[in-house]
Amino acid sequence: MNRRPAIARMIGHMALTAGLLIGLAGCKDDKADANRLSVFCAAGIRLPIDQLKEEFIADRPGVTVAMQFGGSGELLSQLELTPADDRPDVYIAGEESYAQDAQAKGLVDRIETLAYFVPVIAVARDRASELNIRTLADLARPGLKVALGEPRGPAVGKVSDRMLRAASLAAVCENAVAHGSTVQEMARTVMLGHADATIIWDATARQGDFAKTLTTIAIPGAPTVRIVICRVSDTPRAELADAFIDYVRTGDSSRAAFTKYGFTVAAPTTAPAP
Amino acid sequence: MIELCDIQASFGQFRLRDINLRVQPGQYCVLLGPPGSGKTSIVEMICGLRAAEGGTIRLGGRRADGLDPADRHVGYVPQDYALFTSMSVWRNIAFGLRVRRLSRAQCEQRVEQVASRLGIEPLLGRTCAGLSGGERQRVALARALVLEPQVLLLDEPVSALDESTRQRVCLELRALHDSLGMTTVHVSHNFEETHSVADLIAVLNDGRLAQVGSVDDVFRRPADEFVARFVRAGNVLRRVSGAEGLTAALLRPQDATLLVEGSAVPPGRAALAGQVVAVQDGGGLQWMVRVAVADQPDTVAVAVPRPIDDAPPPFRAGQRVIVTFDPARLHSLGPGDGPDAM
Amino acid sequence: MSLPPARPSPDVSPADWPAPPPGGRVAVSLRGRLFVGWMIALGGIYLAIVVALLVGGLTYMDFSRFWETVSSPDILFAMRLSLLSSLTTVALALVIGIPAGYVLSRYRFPGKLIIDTLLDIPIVLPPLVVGVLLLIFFHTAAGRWIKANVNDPVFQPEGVVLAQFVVACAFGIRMIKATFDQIDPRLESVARTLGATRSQAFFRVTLPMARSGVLAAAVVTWARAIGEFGPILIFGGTMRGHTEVLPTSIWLELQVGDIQAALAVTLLMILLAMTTLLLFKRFGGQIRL
Repeated sequence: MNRRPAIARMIGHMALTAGLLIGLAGCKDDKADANRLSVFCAAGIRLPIDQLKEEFIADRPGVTVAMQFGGSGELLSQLELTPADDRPDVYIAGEESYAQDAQAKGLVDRIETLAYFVPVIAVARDRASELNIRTLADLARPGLKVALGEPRGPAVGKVSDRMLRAASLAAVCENAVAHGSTVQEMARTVMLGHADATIIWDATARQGDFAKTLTTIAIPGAPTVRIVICRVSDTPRAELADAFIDYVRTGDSSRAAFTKYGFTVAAPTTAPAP
Repeated sequence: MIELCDIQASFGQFRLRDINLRVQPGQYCVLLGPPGSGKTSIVEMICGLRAAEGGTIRLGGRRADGLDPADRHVGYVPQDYALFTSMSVWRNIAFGLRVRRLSRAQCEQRVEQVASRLGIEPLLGRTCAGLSGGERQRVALARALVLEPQVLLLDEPVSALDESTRQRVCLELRALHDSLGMTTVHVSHNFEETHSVADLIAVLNDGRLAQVGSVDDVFRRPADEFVARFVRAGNVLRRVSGAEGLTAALLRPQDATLLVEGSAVPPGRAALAGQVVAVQDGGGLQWMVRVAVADQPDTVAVAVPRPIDDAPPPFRAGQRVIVTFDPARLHSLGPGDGPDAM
Repeated sequence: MSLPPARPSPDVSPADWPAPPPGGRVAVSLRGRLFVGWMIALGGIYLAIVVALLVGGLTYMDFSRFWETVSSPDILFAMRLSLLSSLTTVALALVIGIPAGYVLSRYRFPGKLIIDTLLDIPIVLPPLVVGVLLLIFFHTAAGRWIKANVNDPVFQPEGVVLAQFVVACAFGIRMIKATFDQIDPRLESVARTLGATRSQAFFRVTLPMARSGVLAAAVVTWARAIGEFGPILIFGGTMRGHTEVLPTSIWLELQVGDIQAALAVTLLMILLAMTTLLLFKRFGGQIRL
């Protein structure tokens, strides 16, 4: 039989809750710390940036870097909506148009190029010879299932849409069997066999499982997109932010990190996408 | 002890009007009425679970209107017993004591006392599941009585029990009331079960008190046709007289005699011609003969004395007869009601 | 053709009844069994779907990567934070949800229908939107005051709890209200006639009776909280070693194309969830709420 009255149990319960909350608070970070750099980074670029970040803080004792990942567009919204003292110091976007928007809104005041995304056609490796796709025009083959990025969504969607229409291949856009909202989604669609071909970034095709299961076909003259890193306006840690930006974008370790994860570092010979 | 003065209340469509009831200390009051007449609502107002819109309630001389149910010290046994199913029988009974923070020893002593008085000691360790109707009732009763209230409210305490035990339980309740010196209000829809235990009867009809009085008052001198029919006091005769319009009167079966058609009616007695519908056993030494009389919507029952031997009844179904009675023995019931009156 | 009788005795079988099959009894009732069969088959479709998804994922997985992925410090942190935050969310949801459910169930007041509907909004809104709204709130004057004087949850672990709480509590309130709806309010009234105050009637009579319903609400709330992702992404942040929870980990791996790592963390989440849910269900009955 239960002796303690129910009220005592409720109090005990609330004490437990309070304890949990206090425990959580232990995980708290001090956002005002002058040596704590906060970076918003597009999720697709995580791997090289993580590596460079480790190298950066290894050289600087006492400095920490908190990385927040998300879609480039989401990060931009967060940048705009977060109160000033929660804003990050650095914003890395997978596509320059976001950074330009941010600059137009006065949110960032320094934009530098890190690397480039080049669109390529990707098909499943074990079906490559069977499908025998060599050019963009081959995507218009009847019966071929093509996955494309949502034209109003990810950068690759916009770029591939424009590219196809410029090549008089609008039919491919209309008949796309799927419209992905992220480039990884489209790569997965082809990898898992739900589509035969897609247009994605070269770097994506060289990442992780995609590298093992997909093979790419270059698109001569394809427009490219710049991966950019920006300093957020009015950040109290401007110096540290600048140091980070400079470290990440120049130097041999930068080239090595980006190349290792499949990114194109050299400026491509074609004009950038409008 | 319990005083309801001019109580008015309405709940949705239903209204209680002008309820005036006074139950003296130590009285056993039976609140009688058909289902839906407001009996439970009145009891809920006495124990504080419902508020009246007008009028006052006094308990033991003090105004109880504003008091919380917890402060009224009224024992309440609801119709469905409302046992706390998550607790054992012992904890149900001890509930009121533990809420008042009595020590464990005191609780045990008083629970034992009440349980043995009601004969439910063997049930103390059990959960409430699987108890019979009678057992549940006694647990609910014990739960209320253990607090030694001065007023006890019983809402239809025997309606859920089987017929053979109802009368006995009513007598047991009365015995309990007497030995504990309480004031009790017993809600019922059945006069036959309760008339032997009641000191005071209050008959409720559609939100209004039709009559309040002793058993004798209600049975022999019902205030109106409704009460007369409800307590089955006797035959309700309807007639139209010029000045008063439609009136009803009570004729007790024992006050009427039956004559064969064509017999002479003794002087000074009224007569109604009719035809025998049925002859039934009237209990005791009488036949109850039901006669269909012209101009009366109901059959008239006449008690015919019956000799102790096995002789057949003197009247047969279908026989034409005359019902005679002394008009002075009619008890007026005031204006008749109902569209089917003549 | 007539159905065979319910229990034909072996030594009395008239010629026109079919003979029982050798060694067996005639079906007790063919129709009865068909009914049971249909119910199980239709209801079992969902079980089949769940099992199919799990089996599909397991067969696709490369188990050699499981241990290495799951034992990385980031994933271990995410697991700890997932558990800590979801349990905190449940505790808060009960402290707030029990009174809320009680008021909604027992009391009548003007505008009750509107308020009841408002409390369903967090369930209806896409989780991402909840995150955006939270972010916007802390931008407003009221939000900034709270940040300065009470707690700053933006991109902090408290923000993770807040994000989970805003969505999961709505589920909890729904279920707790339904639980109180089932408990006859007259029992509280009777308790009051026995001398209990309203508060005593609630704690001694109603709440013990509500125990299993409250427990079910806690389970649902926890499940929702630990699986929550959208608002955490936007409001709590996805910082490794700081506000990362398991759903976030899975998403981060997918964003770099590492499906095997994503599946490894998924399997971890499934194991974690099953263990916790089984514990809840097995021992929850003995929790004294």
